[in-house]
Amino acid sequence: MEDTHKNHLIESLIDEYETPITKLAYFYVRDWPTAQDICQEVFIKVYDVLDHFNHQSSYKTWIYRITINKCKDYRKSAYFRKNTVVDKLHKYFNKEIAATPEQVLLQSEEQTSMSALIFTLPIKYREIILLYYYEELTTQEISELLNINSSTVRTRLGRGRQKLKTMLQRRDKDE
Amino acid sequence: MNNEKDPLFTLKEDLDKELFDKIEITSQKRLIMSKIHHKHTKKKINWHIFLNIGVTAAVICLLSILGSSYLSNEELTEEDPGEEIKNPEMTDQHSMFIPEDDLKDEINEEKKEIRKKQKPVVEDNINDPAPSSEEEEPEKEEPKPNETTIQVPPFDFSYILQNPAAFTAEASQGILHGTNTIIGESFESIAEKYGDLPFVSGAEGGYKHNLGSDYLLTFDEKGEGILHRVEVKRRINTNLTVEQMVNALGIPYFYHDAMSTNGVYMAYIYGNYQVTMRVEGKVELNQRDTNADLDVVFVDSDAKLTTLQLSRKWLEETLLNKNTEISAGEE
Repeated sequence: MEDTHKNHLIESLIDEYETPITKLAYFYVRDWPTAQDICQEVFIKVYDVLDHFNHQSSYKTWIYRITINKCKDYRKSAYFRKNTVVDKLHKYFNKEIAATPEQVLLQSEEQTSMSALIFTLPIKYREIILLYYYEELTTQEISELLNINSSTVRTRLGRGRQKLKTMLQRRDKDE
Repeated sequence: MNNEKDPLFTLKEDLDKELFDKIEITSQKRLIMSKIHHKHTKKKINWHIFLNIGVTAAVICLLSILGSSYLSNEELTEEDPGEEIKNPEMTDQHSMFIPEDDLKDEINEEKKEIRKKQKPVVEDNINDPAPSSEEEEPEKEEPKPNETTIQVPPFDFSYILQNPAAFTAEASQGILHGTNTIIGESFESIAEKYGDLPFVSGAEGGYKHNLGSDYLLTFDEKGEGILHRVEVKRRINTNLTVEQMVNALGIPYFYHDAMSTNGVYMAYIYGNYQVTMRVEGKVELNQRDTNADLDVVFVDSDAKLTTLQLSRKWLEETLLNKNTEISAGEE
């Protein structure tokens, strides 16, 4: 593939998928700058392997798969694990510090928001819920994307949805 | 897919509102493109650098290989001695290099050895009278059937005194009167005239021939079998004096031969040839300084001339002088 054609193609892919890719990465890493970095790496990778793209899937599915793999690699990295431990310790010690009633109210609202509930789900349910409801992919597309059976996708989607409903009902009761 | 009964059908709007409304999403397109171009330019630069280095190295290797294939003449001749040492028995092969000087020396030595084997050595002795034994004389008088000896005119020093002009004219042509030879002719022709001559080594050596009963003829070969010098020596006491020769041929150069015989000689130079005669009698020598040759300052006019030699000119006139005093010595 000629360089000019490649450049045009990658620019159009960036225009179309940059924001969805960054948001998808954010759901995995929960850090916007890290999500942006992953987005950059994804498009550089796409440019490198663009000649080998076999067109058996759509560009969207292909780029999403690259993004998810990048995110999972990042989550496996020592850097991410260290940061996660530090964050948990930070939150734990912040709880011990006496807070004002306003701060307590804000914290409780943050903890009961939809996004907070979503992020409390295990990753295997969270990614299915987000791909299905947020990215609006079919179970077949999700199975291709994650390279798992569509029945597994449906099972995980059902269980994830059930867990989320339970959490929402509990939140509503508390309110 | 999502219907109104599903409590999660508003999930997308809720998440956008909660997570992304507060974030100002800016495009990274320019940054991504610049990173892509930077990375690929780097790759291209590396490729070009390695290509250039590779091409340069290949050219250097090629030139060094070609350069080592062509040795200079000096390098080639440096290797030849080794080859000769390894295969000395292969000298009969035409393709093999044989130094010219060595070949000449070998030929000359072989010739000399052959001649020595064929004839016994004749001892050179000034005071030795002419051979008078009854056993030897008949052998000389009886010519061998294979030898093609020719009759040469009898030699006598008196001829020079009687015919100085004729002697000088012949000497300037390289001819010594009475010997039937000419300087520069081949030794093969001399062998035809005189037969195979015995060889005597040493300073006064050469191929010897008895010229009559009173004179001994010596031929000297120098390079490629060419006659270089012919000498006549008076066997018995001679009456020829320096004064007689000076009267006949003029004032000569006198010189002292410190290199071989340590004697005093008088010399006449005729073109490319020179006639030298050994002086035996009263002489006075003088050394100007420590390293200089001895100058002959005085010669007794009655001193005897024992040998007469004709050869190619090798004396340097500029180093000689005619200042030698020739007069009767005091008794």
